[in-house]
Amino acid sequence: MFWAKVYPAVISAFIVLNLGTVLFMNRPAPVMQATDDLLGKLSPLAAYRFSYTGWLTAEYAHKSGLDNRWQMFGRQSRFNWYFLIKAKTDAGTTVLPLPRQSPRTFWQKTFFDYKEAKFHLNLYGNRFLREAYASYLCRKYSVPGQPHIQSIIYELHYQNLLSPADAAKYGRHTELESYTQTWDEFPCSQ
Amino acid sequence: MFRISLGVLITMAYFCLAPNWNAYYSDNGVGGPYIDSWSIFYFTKGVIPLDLFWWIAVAASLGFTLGYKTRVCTIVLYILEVSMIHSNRMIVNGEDFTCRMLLFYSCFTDLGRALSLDAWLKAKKKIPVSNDPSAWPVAWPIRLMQINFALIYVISLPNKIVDDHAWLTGDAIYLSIVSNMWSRWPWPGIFYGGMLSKIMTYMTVLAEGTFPVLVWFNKTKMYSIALLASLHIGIAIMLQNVTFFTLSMVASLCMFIPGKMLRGWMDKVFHQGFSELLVKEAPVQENTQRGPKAKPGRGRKGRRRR
Repeated sequence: MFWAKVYPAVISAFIVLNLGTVLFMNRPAPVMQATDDLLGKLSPLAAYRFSYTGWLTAEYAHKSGLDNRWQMFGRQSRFNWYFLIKAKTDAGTTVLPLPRQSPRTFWQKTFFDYKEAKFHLNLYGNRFLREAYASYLCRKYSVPGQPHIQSIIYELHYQNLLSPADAAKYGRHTELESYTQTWDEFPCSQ
Repeated sequence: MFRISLGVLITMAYFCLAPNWNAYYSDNGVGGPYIDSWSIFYFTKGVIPLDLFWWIAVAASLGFTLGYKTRVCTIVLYILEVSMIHSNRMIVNGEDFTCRMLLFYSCFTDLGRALSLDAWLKAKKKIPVSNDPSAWPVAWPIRLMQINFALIYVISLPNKIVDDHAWLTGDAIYLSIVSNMWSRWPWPGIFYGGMLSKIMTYMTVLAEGTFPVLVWFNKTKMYSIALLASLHIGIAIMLQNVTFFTLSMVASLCMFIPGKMLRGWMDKVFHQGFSELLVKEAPVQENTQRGPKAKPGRGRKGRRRR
């Protein structure tokens, strides 16, 4: 009987908690800035309580899986780019046989490599991840009998995109010039 | 339908992950050592081989799709999805976040109620289905899923427009089509000049902007669903590396379609009574306890009878 009375309230609270958490985790930048400004004007105790509540909400979002910030193709790149990941060995520099930079079968390209693009996108902006991935490649490709890998090199190749009007004018969507630069080099640990 | 379509997608995703499973999710994989401990892979490191979790995932996704021990499979899939995301956040795609959210809410409802092995086995065992409304499956998790799904567009559309003016100028679709990373469209030339890109960009904004409102009204619901489904299917055709994500959004749209309408479609496509064959339920057990009928207008404010 007690549960029958309390059940609707519990469900309602759970619904409010979840929807509120999603909205909290996706606050626009102006709202976050306004909140920070407001916290600065409160007393230390009140500011702590608000901050702690926010932390609890973020923790619940993290644990339950509601912490994603929803952006679908929010920012479009104005240049085409790709990483060419190489291994520097005693015998010279070789291109590693990785997805997106080596011949792939139809099944690999269509089905098995579907996470590689997002992975490279994350590699682009995260030096720690590039280092971790380089460490993984050092372990994977250091095979006895093969030349010793000294370091992993990330080479960035990019080419700017033309505007739609220029694309129609020139009949292509990329500029003629393409650029290459060494983005990072991580030595393989002994 | 929602369970089946999402289950098929999740099953395919796990099969596609098979060659790279250890590379992506092991402690010495591409993402480096485990940083986040909120993962079953972290807790069972060295005890349970990671490969075994792949087999568990495939079994659970097949069970989820077929509707066998549906609740258990849903919870297992949710735990695995959370673990995958927390063990290597750097290879997380949109479909991981979407599936995680949907599976979280699905844990609270009985998705195996219809078009499932669970329902078929219950009918076979002639387990009576109660006509008592309190025994019916709860609807609030489905509603919560629907609201959260609609919120995705409420949140992402303003973010898009603020973060990139290409969504206002109409160049967003052009930039997607000419991207070497995302596009698989072999004829980008038709988007040169910008007119087609403008039309498609503004249609995208229209579809995403109107869906969270129009989907709640019976007269506009199906048009809104059809428009958004067309958008996502178009993305699946023209763009690569986001196929599972965009198809997970299409699968999620199934939860907005009323069951009665789906059964009507199935009867039209196959033959009359086909849906009755699939939704076999045991004879309904009448509620023999008849209480006093509520007088109209009394509601909760009516006097309680002791």
